[in-house]
This record gives sequence, C-alpha cells and structure tokens, in this order.
Amino acid sequence: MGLVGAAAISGVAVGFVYGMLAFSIVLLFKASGIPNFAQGNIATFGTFIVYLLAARTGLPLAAAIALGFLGTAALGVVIYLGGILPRGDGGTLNLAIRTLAVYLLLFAVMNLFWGVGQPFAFPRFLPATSVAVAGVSVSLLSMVTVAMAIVLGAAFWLLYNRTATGLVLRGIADRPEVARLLGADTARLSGLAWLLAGLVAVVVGLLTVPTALLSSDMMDGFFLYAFTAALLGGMTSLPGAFVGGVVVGVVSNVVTVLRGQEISILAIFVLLIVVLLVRPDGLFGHEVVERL
Amino acid sequence: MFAARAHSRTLPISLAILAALAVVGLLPIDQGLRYIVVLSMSWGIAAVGLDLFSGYLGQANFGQFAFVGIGAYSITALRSEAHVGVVPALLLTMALAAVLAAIVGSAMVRLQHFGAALTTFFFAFVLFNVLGGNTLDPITHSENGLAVPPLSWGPLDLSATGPWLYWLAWAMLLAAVLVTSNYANSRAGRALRLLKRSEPVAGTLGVRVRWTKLSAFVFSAVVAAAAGLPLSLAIGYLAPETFHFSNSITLFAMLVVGGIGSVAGALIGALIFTALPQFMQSTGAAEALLFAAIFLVFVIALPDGIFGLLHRAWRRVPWSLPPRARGERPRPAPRTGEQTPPDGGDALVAEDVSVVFGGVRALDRVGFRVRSGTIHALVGPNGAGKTTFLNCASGLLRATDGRVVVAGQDVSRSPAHQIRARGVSRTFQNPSLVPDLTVLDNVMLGLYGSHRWSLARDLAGEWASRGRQRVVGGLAAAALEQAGVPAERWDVMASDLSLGEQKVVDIARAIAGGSRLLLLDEPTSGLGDGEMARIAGLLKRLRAEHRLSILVVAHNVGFVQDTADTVTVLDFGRVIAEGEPDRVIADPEVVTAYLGVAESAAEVGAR
Amino acid sequence: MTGLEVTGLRAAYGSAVVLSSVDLSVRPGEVVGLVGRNGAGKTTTLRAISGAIPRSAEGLSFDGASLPARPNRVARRGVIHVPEGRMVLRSLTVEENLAFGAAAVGRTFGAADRGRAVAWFPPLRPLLGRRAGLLSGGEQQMLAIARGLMAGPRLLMVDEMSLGLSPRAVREVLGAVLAACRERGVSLLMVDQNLRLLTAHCHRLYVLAGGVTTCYEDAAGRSDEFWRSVYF
Repeated sequence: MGLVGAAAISGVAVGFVYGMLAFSIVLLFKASGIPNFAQGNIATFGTFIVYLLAARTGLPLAAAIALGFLGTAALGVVIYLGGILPRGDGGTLNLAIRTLAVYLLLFAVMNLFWGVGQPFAFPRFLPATSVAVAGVSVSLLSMVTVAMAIVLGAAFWLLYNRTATGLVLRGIADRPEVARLLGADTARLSGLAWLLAGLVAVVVGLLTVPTALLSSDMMDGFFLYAFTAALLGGMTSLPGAFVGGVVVGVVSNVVTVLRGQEISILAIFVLLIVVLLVRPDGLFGHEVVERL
Repeated sequence: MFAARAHSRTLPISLAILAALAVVGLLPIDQGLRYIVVLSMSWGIAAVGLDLFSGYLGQANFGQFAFVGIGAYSITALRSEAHVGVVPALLLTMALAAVLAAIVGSAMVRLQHFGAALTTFFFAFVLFNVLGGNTLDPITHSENGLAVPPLSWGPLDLSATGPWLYWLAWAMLLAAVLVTSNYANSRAGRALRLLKRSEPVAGTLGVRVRWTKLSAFVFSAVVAAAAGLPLSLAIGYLAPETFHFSNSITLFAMLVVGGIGSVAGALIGALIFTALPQFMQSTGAAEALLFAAIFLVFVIALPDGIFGLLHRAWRRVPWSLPPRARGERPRPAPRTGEQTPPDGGDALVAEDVSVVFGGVRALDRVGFRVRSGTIHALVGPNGAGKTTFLNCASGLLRATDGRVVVAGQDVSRSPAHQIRARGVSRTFQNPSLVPDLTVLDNVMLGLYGSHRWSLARDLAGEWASRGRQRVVGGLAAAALEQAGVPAERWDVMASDLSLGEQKVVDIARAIAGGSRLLLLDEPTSGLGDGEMARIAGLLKRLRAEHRLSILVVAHNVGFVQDTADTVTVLDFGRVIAEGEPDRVIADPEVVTAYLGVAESAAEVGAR
Repeated sequence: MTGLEVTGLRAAYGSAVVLSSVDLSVRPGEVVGLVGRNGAGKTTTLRAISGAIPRSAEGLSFDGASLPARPNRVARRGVIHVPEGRMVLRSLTVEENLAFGAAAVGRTFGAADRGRAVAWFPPLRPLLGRRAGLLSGGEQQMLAIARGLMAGPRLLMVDEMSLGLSPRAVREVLGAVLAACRERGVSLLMVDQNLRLLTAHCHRLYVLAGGVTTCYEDAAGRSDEFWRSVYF
C-alpha cells in the first residue's frame, strides 16, 4: 500500500464528511432553491455549543451533544425565519447573498463571544483506535463517519420517499410555484428543511473535530470543498452529494501527497470550473443551473 | 438585489464626496485618523471597480479583494525584490491582474449566476492559500509576510507616516471614480445594463455578450489591483491574513450598504465601514458583528443601499447633470454599403425551417418569403410557433433543419450580433427595455451595433466622444420622433412607461440603427384599439417612407388586414395558409384554427 | 354555497395594467368559459383569483368567504388552479403526482382515490409507475387535471387545456374532465383559445377585452359570424 493508496483511502473517509455537508447543502437547495453559503459556519457554531457545554460547564458529553443538536436545529430555524423568510421574493441571488451575510454574522459572533484562546482541543469522544479491514488500517472515526452517512442517507431516503411530507418536499423542489398553487405550505416546509440542515451540520462538525482543532474558521475551506462536491454530484441529487464528496476527498488527498496542499486546492478549483462548464447538472442532477 | 436599479450620471455626488475628503486632507488631523482615511480610500478604489461589475452588469463577484491582494503583493515584490520603480511596478501589476482576470473570467462568463459567484469566492480562497503557502515563497515569504519598502517620489514622502500618501490615495480614488463613471455612462456601460436586463436581447442588438462581460470583469480586477498600491504603503507590512477571502465578502457588503450601482455608493460604503468604527470604542470582533448585521438588514430591507435611500428621498431635486442637448434630428440614414439583395428583392426567405424540442415539433418545415419593402404578417393561435420562428431568424435559436436567408445570406448558423450586423433588428413580446435607463438612453442602445467604437474611448469620458454622442443622440431622437413618442417622454425612466409606450419605444430602438428588416413580435398584444392604430400607422409609414421590410407577428386579424401586404398562417408549427390577408382570413381552415374545433356534446359524452 | 364571485378585479404587472375591472362568477355545478385574444389577460385572471400574482378587487369571494392572498391558502379553500402548460412534477411518477395533489392540501391518498383517478382518466392506468416528464402532451394534461381533482376541490380552474393538444386528445381530456366534475359536483372555470369547444359546453361564457369582461349567457346559440366579430 503506497503513499498514494493510503491517501486515497483516507480521502474516501474524509470524502464522506465532505459529502455529508454537501448533503445538507443539497437538502436545502432542493427544498428552498437557495445555495446556503453559511452551512459550514452553522456546523462550526453547533460544534462550539457542544464544546462549551461539555468542556466549560461540566455537562456529560452525551447531554452536551443532545443539546447541541437542539441548539443547531433551532439556529437553522432562526436563520430561516429572520434572514430568509422576510421579503423572500427578491430572487435566489438576493437570498444567496443573505446566506453570505449570515456567514459573516456567525463568524463574528463566534469570534466575539468564544474566540478568546482559540483554537481549542475538543474533548475526545471516540477512542482513537484503528481496525484492520482488508489489509488497510481504517480508523474508528472513519467507520463511524461512514456509518453515520449510511444512517443519514437511509433516514432521509425514508423521509423523502415514504412520507407525505417528503412527497411534498420533492414536489416543491420540482416546481415550487405549482406546488404552492396546489396548496403546499412552502414556508413551513422550508423551515423544516433548515431545521434538518442544522442537524446534519452539527453531525458534520462533530465528525470533523477529532482530527482538527475547534476554531471559528474551522470549516472555511471545508465548505467550499463541500459545495464543489454538491455541484459535482448534481445539486438535486442527495446520493450524488456523497459521490461528489468522495471524488473531492480522494482527489484532494492524492494531490496533496503528490504535490502539496496548495496545488491540491488549485486542483479542486480547476475541478469546480470544469464541472460547471462541462456538466452543469453534475453527474446525477437534472435541470439544475437554469433555476439560478 | 440585482434587480436593484443602477443610477446614471452620479459623478457630481462622487466628486462632492471627494471634495470633502480633500478638505479633510488639508485639515490638521492626527496621524491615526489620516491612516484610517487612507485605508478607506484604498478600499473605496476596490469598491468602485467592483460596482461596475456587480452594480451595472449585475453579476456577483466575491473575489474582488483577492485582486487587491495580487496588486499589493505584486507591486511590493517588484519594488523590493526586483528593484523596479513604483510606476512600472504598478503598470506591470495591472497587466498581471488583467491576465489572471481574463483566465478566470473566460470560464466565469460562460456560467450562470451561482456558478460565477462560487467561482470568484473559490478563487479568493485559492489566492489566500497561495499567499500563505510555499509555492510562491520566494516572492511572498508566505506566512512571514512581506515588508513594504517606504516610497518617496522625488521630493514627496509617500511613506505611511508622511503627508503625501493621503494625496496619492486620493488622486488614485479620483482617477478610479472618473474612469468608472465614464464606463458606466458610456455606450459600453449601457450595454452592461442591457446585459443585466436580458442577455438574449442584448445579443440581438449587436452586443457580444461574453466579450463584454469579460471586459467588465477584467476592468474591475485591474482597478482592484491598483488599490493595492496605497493599501500596501499604508499598512507597511503584507501578511496573508490581510487578504483573507472573507474580506471580499466584506467589500461586497460595503458596496451593498453604500448603494450598489451608483459609484458614489461604493465611496459611501467604504467610508462608513472603515472610518466609522474608529469613533466606536469597540473591538474588532464587535465591529465585525455589527457590520454583518447591518449587511443582512440592508440585503433584506434596503437592497438599494444608502444611496438608494437618499435618491428616493430627494427624487425631485435634479441630482444629475442636465439632460443632454437634443441636438439636430436628422432622418435616419440608410446603412452604408448596402447592396440590393441578389434574391430578386426578398428581405427574408424561410426554407423548410424545422425546430424540434425533445420530441415536440415547434416548427415543421416552415417556408415563406418576405419581399423587400413589404409588410408580411405571421399569424396563428397561441403556441403555433411564431415567436420560435422569430428566434430562429434573429439568432437566438438554431433551427434543427432548413435555412433562413436574409438579404441573400444564410443566417441559420449565425449568432445574434452578426445577424444584427446584417441589418436585422427585432422587438420582443415583452419589451425588455432597461428599466433604469431613460427612454432616450434605451433607444440609443439601438445604435450599439451600428458604429464601431472602442472601450478605451468610452473610458476617456464624454469629452472624447462628444461628437459621436451628438450623432447617436440625434439618430435616437429621430427614431423616437418617427415612432411618435412625444419629446417630453424622452427623459422618463423606462420603468415608468405604460405597456403601450414600452412597445413603441421598443420599435424606436429597433429602427434607430437604420436596419432594413424589422422582426416585430406581437407589437399589438395587450394594447387597446387606439394604441393598435398608432402602431399600424407607424408600420405603414416605415414601409412607405423608408422602404423597410417588416415581418410582424400578430394575433389581431383586424390589424393584419389593415397593415399587411401578405400573410402566413401557422398552426401547430406548420404553414396552413398563405397569401393576401382578405383571402387568407376567409379560409375555413384558418377560421377553424382560430375558433377551434367544434365537438357535439353527444360525441364528447359517449366514450 | 354561492360559488365564486368576482367583481372589479384589478391586476397589473408593474405599471402595465392588464385587468382593470373584471367581473365573473361561477355558481355551484356550473361550467363557465373565459375567452379572449392573446395577451388579453385570461391567464392573468386565473392567476389573480388563485393569488399567484398580487391583485385587488371590490369583491373576490368563494362560497361567501373572501379569498386569501396566498395561493396555498386559496387551494385549501377548495379553489384549485391547474396552470397553463400542464406543469406536471416531472421527476415524480404519475401516481406520486396524484398523491401530491392530495398531500399538498393535507388530504390522505389511498387506493380508493387512485381508483377514482384512473376511472376518470383510463389512459393513466398503465402509466402509474412512469415518470411524469415522459408522458405525452395529452397524458400530461389529464394528469394535471386529475392531480387537481385529488385535492377535493369545489371549483377547478383550468388554463388553456387544449393548447398543443391534437383535436382527438382535446376531445378525450374534455370528456373526462366534464364527467369527473359532474360526478363530484365540482364547478369548472375554463380558459381556452378554442372558442367553439367552450361555446359547445359552457353554461356561460365571458369574453375578456380591454381589461374588462362581457358575459354571454346563451353562448351555444350564437353563430360563428357573431363570434368572429367579437373575437377578431
């Protein structure tokens, strides 16, 4: 197993995390038509909530995580109600720019209230063991990541394909105006989508901190990679987000090993442009870019 | 927000702000405050350049500050490592920025809004990492940063502590404002504003869409790079953090809060964001929070920014320069170098034109001729394919089969701006005028494709193009007069016109450039009888006095009988009748197509 | 139960006024038509009633209660607008489209509902599992109307049903719609270009011109010449 091979394997693992963040971006996009630039910082914010509860107030980690889920889901709804819903008919570009303002806002809040002394080491919640799978050393974290991705994927698949709410969400993603004419309460369902996106975001944050230090800019490059993954997989395809994530993860890790991190960032940039030019619908998406 | 209106001729306000800054510079203020204002002015330069691209063209650009970084690092590295003088360093840097912008931009202009926005943001991220990384370490010294050597130009001490840096920044800001205002108010600027409204319409008026967008992007990047000079001299030391990619968002926020699409708004925003915090006793993080909140509030509730607020409040006061002189009103000259069409007098010939969209035959072997100097009507029920045909004839749609021949040339594969150059112009069912330009400015866009002109002359300002402006203004005025638009309506914003007026102005725009074939798409739909009669009269005048050939799509049979020499009737994409109006209208198949198919209740009931 | 009552309806796109004062009514059980030239504002009228565009009116009520401003609330009052261009949900299957019609207004969708839909529109039966985007024009039109009926409306407004359909398909769809509406006691407001089709089947016909409507009670009895003079 050469260096490149090992990089590729770990690239798949980190790719699943990119994919999960991409998944939440696609989820929001399908439900509300908005690309959410603040999704990375929502993840960081949620992680901070868990950290502060666990490391500063002595709450047991499990309780802190539970409250973190609650808090981040609430954050998603608050952002929707305060930032997206008011005068929400200004067009998708206006709404996308609002998410950029939220990106700046969350960043500033985290710096102002919790920034002193960052970066922080997050309390360990997973043993740092590795398991040998088919001759390759796979960390427990990677396995948990893949497991979470499968659980999330299955849960959302059930929601989307086996419930009435999911059916209405899919209809809204297909033709929002018609869905509204037929009675769909797009406001309520968009709020639900933001809540779910918040939940997924905090999971992504928790899966990232074991291998990174917690700081307010933790997710910066991450979310750009996740966006690229979402576009690669097709902005309307939930499973495509994971495929895109794995591609981005493998490419970036392998190129980093071969040529260093800067070149790998450049490589992903080029990948982004090529995807946008050649297949704007991504690998699995359909009729995406025309919406914007 | 990109529907937020742009403003013409705001130079007086920008100059007033610059005058105030000059006064501030002459006052005996302390060094700390001077430094802040120099920073403001540097950001202002970058914001002004960004305004042209995001405000007038209406495209998101979240990587502008990256070009400031490129500018700062490049100028400094050239000066300290290569010992190049400051002026050559600045020029080389601007050239470098232009090249990089051209590369990134050529991909970007092919993308839709969201893709373009993400590309610029990612570019800023890439640059931030490159500045802090190892690849360019010899130049940038990566994380350690780069010291900016103090500058003196002859007897003038331009270092951060000297008095003259203020004036350098001020002079560069003045230059940026002048050049950007010239751009925004010129022929090129009007083209940008039309692109913002509709790219296909711009194409049919002769605008080369990608090239024009790319030029605007390169311009804003070059202006940003220039801002790197005063910025680097002021801060004295360049580190990658200074050019973090979120600063591009902050720059964009400044522009939105100040007032996007006004040039002056960029100044207002830059001053507020950088200067105001100095009067607040707060930490950097608190300021960042405040500004992010302000940004969000403005995007939601005040997308026109502070300038927009002021403009609305003072609407009665004539802020702008007095309306330009009408000048003489010559009759529209025929296009030079025209030949009589070799086809023996056919302005347009359609041969077996078919268009298939995913299984649906929108047009099915449509063929007909429009003889020169006649009015030919193309009629049919809704969905028959009339607009689809016009789109083929004007270069917006490629036919699956068949040919469209205009004045002897096959234009089936030609792009819209080339067809315009052949003397074809068209109107649209939805007039697509630029809402924040006046009627006269809109009609002047009709002359975009008629004269060759260079961007450089546009940038040089009105004094360089005064002669041309007069000619173009005169021709536009003539077209408006011809179309019967009263002179007192010429300075009205297009968004304040009724639908009927908009349709007439659309026609004036189409005839202003001296075309010889007009394609009119439902000029009468939605109009009352009086307005319809006006348009009928106009078309007949155009045929009689200027021997224009006109292909008009119409729905109203009375109008067709009154104006058309010949008629082609389409139904389900196929020609079902052709000939003179009276005969065609009486044709039972045509009547059926319009009135529909009768079904007896019994037939329907029994299934 | 008074049905749809519209008086003085006004709608504009920016400063361009399309409808200046439209009056029309659809009483329970009626089939009413709305015709006019292209660009007259027929589609605008339906969109104004359903709340898809902002509007003002002296009176805009259904069964005595004023219609809300938001389209999804209008739908829940029992007024379903089937828009121009069929607009089926392309990535969903035929059956999912039908289920959507019910789910969007909070109704259940079971075997009985599905059975009713295919009984009214038999050509849909073999297509239940197919993606709606792959259906023909006529099939899509049937689906769009069936989907609307799954919402259990009391008034169905159909925009340009015959657009782009062959005469045979129009015959099939119209027959099915009329039968379904009769069976469920649903009143019908149809906008169409196909004047003869409407005159044959409507109790009442409104002609929209110059932003106002004129009502013709005895539509079926009038001659072609009459309609040509009005229409052209």
